[in-house]
Amino acid sequence: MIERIIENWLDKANERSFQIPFCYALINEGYTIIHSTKHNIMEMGKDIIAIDPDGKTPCAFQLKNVNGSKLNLTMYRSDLENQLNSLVYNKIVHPSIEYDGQHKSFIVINGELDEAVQISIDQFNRAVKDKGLMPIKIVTKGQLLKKFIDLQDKLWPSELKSLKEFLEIYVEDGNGILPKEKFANLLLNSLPFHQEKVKDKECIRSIASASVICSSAINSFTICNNHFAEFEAWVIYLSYTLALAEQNNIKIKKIKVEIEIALSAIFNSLQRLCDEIMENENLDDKGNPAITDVPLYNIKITLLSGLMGIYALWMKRNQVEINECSSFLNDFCLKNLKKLKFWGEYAMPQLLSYYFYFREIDATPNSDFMLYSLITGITYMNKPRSPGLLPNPYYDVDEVMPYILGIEKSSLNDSFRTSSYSLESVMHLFVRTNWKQHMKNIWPKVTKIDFESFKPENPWEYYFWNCDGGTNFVKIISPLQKWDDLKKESEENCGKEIPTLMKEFPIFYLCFLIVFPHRLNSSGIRWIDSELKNC
Amino acid sequence: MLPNYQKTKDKLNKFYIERMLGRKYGFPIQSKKLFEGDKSAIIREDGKIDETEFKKIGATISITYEEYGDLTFPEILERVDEKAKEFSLKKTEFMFDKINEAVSEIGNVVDCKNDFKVDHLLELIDKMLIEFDEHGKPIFPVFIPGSKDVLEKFQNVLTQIDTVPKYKKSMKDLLEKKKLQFNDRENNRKLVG
Repeated sequence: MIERIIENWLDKANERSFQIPFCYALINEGYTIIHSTKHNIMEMGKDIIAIDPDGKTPCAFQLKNVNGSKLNLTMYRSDLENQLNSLVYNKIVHPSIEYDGQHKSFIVINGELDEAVQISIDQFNRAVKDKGLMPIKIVTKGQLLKKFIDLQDKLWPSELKSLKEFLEIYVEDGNGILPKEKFANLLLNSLPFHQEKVKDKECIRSIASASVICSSAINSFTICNNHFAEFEAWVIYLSYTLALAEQNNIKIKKIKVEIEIALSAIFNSLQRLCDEIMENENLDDKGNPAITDVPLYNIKITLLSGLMGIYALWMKRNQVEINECSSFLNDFCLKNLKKLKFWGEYAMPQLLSYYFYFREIDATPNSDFMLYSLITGITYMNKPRSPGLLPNPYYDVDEVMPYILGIEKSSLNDSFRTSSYSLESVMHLFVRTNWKQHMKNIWPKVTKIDFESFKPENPWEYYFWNCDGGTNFVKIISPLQKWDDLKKESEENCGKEIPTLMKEFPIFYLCFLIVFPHRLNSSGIRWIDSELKNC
Repeated sequence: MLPNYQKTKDKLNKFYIERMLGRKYGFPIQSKKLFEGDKSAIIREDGKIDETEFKKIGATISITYEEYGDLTFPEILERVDEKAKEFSLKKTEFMFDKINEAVSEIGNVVDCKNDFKVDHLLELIDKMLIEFDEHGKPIFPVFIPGSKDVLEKFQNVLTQIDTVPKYKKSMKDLLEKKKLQFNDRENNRKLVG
């Protein structure tokens, strides 16, 4: 059954879809991954660059999607032939590679080769050999399938329930929202969380195996270029990877490459999203009439602004030079400030990600007052005896919007009055900006709202979508407080309420909060704020 | 094997659950959904933490094999409603147990020894935090009588407060005191220094 599913996925997958699992398969075979392409306009002609298991020979891999069919001579002549030349004759140039010898070249296709193509490649290889170079190797669907099946070992979702979850995600409409809870459950059941004493090697192998599950499950989203769904899927994947590592005390250096591959998948999805909006800033939904799209426009802008804020901060952290993209992001964020919509606490991580970038590009106090507006918004919408208009972060757009727009007849059957999951975080950020008089003015209203948070029973469960064990805290603050005490409280930044491994990846923490908004807490926000300031 | 008609069954299940949970307490009270975990805790102003473990409350509806063919949908609904009442009662009992625990701990109890009088009500209000609205009117808490007898006594007490000048004045004085306390509290919502 599993073999049939992987085969079906491979037939439908595009290069981007099987690239990451292929990287993990290479790692499993002893290769060291040096570079994995982003599949955007900056492609280098070599999708994956790795070091051979011998520890020195560089290897270049070019992935080719033939939709599970046979690559015929026409396709070969029109497309692949040129790539073969480039792959074999052009030297691998990469800062991590200092090797004067010949590199190995591979073409990886998710189909088979026509007989005529096999002959052509054979002829090509003979010419290559005559020039004293290494011939090109072809990895076809059969070998690829074996690599992935070897990777899956015993860890694939064999239980009927997990298999059902997998298939349900697999057949989802790729244009929609990723069913995050279902996807998270799939990973939870695919990784050895419930086994006692799991060896490091087994954990690492299961992490690689889960990447095949992740890639194949979200294939419909990848094919539709649903970059946000891909972003969410890889963030969830990395979260569960870190959870497993933290649960089993695996040292980070042992899974460094696995983490870097997932991080690059997340970064690349942001990059593709940015490329897309650079081409079409209107974000119009061509599949639906404008009258259904317009009420969601500001919500989409808010999400996009948050994501682009993260992307810009990530580039800055990676010390990417100022280019066309960074000036676009700068303009995009500045002009969308007035369009941001605070429709629920689910959107708070999006707004805070925007804020962290906004303060870098705007030297005025505008960013500080964005925080002030958020405090005012929460204290007004959820004040005592109000209808409690601001839903908590457990409610996403699809659940909340019908009520906000008044098109749902029944009530939400929940109450948000006098409580907030994000007020403490925003307040601490604002106190850090030192606008003392403003804070004094808003303070009486703040004291009427209780600060809510959730703490899982085990620290590593923080990465989970949902925890069975844990405490829901309601904090009542003292109405009379000294500014100095509040200031001291807001300056704390050790991030004790977030897991240890998370602190290795500050930008990923922002991505994590966008996908898991119910994990936002003041301790984490104070920590990330300090991290970004110190960057 | 026959088809399972799962879609209809899922809808029915959702309908029954909503009917069970939809039964209100019979008095206005704010309730919140908690989505994960197994405990809730309140961190008080002084840093003290009051923890409450989640308690599983349920009600079972039994249908015998003999009833299978004869039971009508309205009859099933009757049973659901009956259980909803039982379920709601269990929820209410749990809530009052927690309230009793909390008020006993801080001594905020007025024992009227089965004879509810005006003085008891005044003492009760005096022990409570009373809020006032933007027009200066008191926002009284919800009074939940435990029985019909208590309800009658309570209504009688309210009539006395409305009609007997002595009690009317006592109530007025008490509310003035409570207003001052409220003002004091509100005035204390300060960030100083």
